[in-house]
Amino acid sequence: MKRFLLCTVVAPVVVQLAVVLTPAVHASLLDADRLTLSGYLKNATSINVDTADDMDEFMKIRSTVQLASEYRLTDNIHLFAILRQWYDSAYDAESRWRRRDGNRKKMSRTRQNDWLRECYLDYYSDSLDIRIGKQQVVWGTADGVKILDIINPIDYREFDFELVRARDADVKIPLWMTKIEYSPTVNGALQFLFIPDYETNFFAPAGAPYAVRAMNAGEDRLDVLRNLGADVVIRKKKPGRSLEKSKIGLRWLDVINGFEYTLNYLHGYSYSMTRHFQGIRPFGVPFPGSVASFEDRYAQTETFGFSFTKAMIEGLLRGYNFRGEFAYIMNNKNAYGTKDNQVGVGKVDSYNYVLGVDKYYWTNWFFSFQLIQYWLEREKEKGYHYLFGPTSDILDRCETILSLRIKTDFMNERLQPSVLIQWGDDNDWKMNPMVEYELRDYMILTWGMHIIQGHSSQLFGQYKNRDTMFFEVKVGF
Amino acid sequence: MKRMFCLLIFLWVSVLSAAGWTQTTALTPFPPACPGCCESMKPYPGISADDLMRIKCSVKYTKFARDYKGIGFFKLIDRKGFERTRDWGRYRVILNRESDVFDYKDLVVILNPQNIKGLSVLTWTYLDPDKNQEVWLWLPSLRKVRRISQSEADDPFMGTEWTTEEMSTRKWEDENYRMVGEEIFGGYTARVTGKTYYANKECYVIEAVPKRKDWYYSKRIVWLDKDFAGLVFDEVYDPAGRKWKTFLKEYEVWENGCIPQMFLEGKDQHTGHVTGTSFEKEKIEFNSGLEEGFFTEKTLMRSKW
Repeated sequence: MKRFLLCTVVAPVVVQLAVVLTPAVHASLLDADRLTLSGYLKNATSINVDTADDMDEFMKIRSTVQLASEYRLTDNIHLFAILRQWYDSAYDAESRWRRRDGNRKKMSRTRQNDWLRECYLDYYSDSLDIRIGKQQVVWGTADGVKILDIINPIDYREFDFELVRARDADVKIPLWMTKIEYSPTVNGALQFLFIPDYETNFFAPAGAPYAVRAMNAGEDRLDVLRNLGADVVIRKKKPGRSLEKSKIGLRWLDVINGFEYTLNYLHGYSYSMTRHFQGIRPFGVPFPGSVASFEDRYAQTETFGFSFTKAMIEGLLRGYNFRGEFAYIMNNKNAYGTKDNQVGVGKVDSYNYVLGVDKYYWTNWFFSFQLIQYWLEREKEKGYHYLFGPTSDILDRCETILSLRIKTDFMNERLQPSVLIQWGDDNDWKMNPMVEYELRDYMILTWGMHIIQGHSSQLFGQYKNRDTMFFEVKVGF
Repeated sequence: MKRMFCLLIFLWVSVLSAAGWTQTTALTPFPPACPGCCESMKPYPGISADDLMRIKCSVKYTKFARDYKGIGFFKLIDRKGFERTRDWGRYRVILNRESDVFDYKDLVVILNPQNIKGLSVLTWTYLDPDKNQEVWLWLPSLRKVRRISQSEADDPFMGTEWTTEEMSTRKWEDENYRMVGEEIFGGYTARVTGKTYYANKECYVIEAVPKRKDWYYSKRIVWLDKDFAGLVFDEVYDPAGRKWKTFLKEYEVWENGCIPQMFLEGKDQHTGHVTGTSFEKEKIEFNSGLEEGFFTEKTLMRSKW
């Protein structure tokens, strides 16, 4: 794989630098005007303030340092990199989160090579832009949910608590890829993505503060096998990194008479796994010395989608902005069974969409409403209902979420309060009020809460005992 | 015979008006003196308030040039003297000579501080005065382009004293104009630089009243430089008729006919908040060859921050 990456990603970068740009490199290597450095130090602390739980425990005490640099080799060729390291001392402060021995190691610091957040070479021209290297690519228009925005996997270490704060760039897992953007017309652009790299979504392991219910429940079931003396073996069958397993993406973007639309296609492996039970050997029953085998697999899917935005610039609806995105995912795989009891895994297509409308009222009060629906091609497989991945609860054929974001500012934009309210059709909901205050040019203070209600087997309700208050101090440079 | 004569006069005036003769003889841009020079319009003796404000709008939106680039900073200072600074770049292409749809397209990019570095606002302004602007945002925290509806016109632009309307959406058609007279401007001492600008400057003084009823201001008194009709000072009155905000704009008139804004200061008389904006002379460029294709989402997506 290293050789493959070397050939497909690193070599083109080096060759471009060495062959095409040698004179420019020589002329400008020490030119400070061409270098831009920026970064920040941040501490984010979250406390569980749920009164039912009667615990004021630390959910997160994360300190982060990030450095970003851009070097402009020529006017239209730039190098860019982001380095980031962090440490979360909540796992030192709270022994409760160390349910598994590995949790502290997995969750308290930057994983493996993740310290290199982004690293790429940019080439611009009037009709062609190329970006080669580790990067993030965003599709779609939705706010806080992922319908078409599925190019990069997500770090769900804090489930969606960071996503709903509009911090997508911080929680996406960048991938090595080539992005080519060709513009045959003034506003039309064809984007081609070639992604030989592969990472899975990262979910917090069982026992961690934001572990999803299914993760905790699954681990409990495996513990039953372990307590009966069986060895539990889980084989992760990741697609790996190779040319034939690469992700390919295409997007056409255009604006016609103010109507903006995209057509999207993505071929590749899903970032979420389905767990397949392989059996218990020998005799099919757990006992000391037996081996229970499982395999985590990742489905190869085809996604077809489109998105649109239309800002109403005249007439009765002047000031409204309508947007939407739709994704049809073919060949997806989903577990089925009864609540908390997976029987098997079935192949089922799904189609998801979001419709949104935004508008400013009373000068600077921004309102943004979204209707989000996830549809399955069919509700059942072999007489069983499909199960909802994060909670192992019964999945309806159609799941609906409504969201409303309200945002404004005071004191010449120094003080920026906002609130996001999300409601699920199983009558669970989450509210996220937040206030940002600019103390100095380079110092931002943030306070906020996640308030959650619902049944413990529902998307939001699974965190009903995780009402959280968070504080953040960010010093930029 | 009398009816025939009146009809002939009416037809003659109609033809001239349709050809734009009655107002464009004086407002025809001066031809550029060199390739890359600007085609500015100049006031003329006896000019009307309407024509002066037309020239003022042309100067404000750099319509004398084909395109514009500028890099500068703005300082936000509150009543107690607390300061915040933002570095920014502004790019504009004027399309009204080659397009029958768009007037101009504009891109604002925040270069500093770190927490909003990369934030960019792309706007397309239509020739049709009844249409709002199209607006796109590049949001660094999302690494995403977000289409938004145009902000409410009275919303302050990025915490400054300038509203969205004052910054970029106010059109000539939005106000009624009345010539107050020709006066000597006494000068304005800026809080940000401590310098006095335009002392004893000969100016046209015009009263501008918004056509929209119950609007966020009741009138403006604008002071226009007699040489090129650029707005050098602006007094804005609130709906109750009290003086609310003042704006200073310092221009330079270059030999090639281009008239860049060099320094601006806005002051809110009610809150004491001040915004000063300054551009670096060596980083201002006109007619540098920016194309319409630069003012698209693709350019926003090039942002790394």
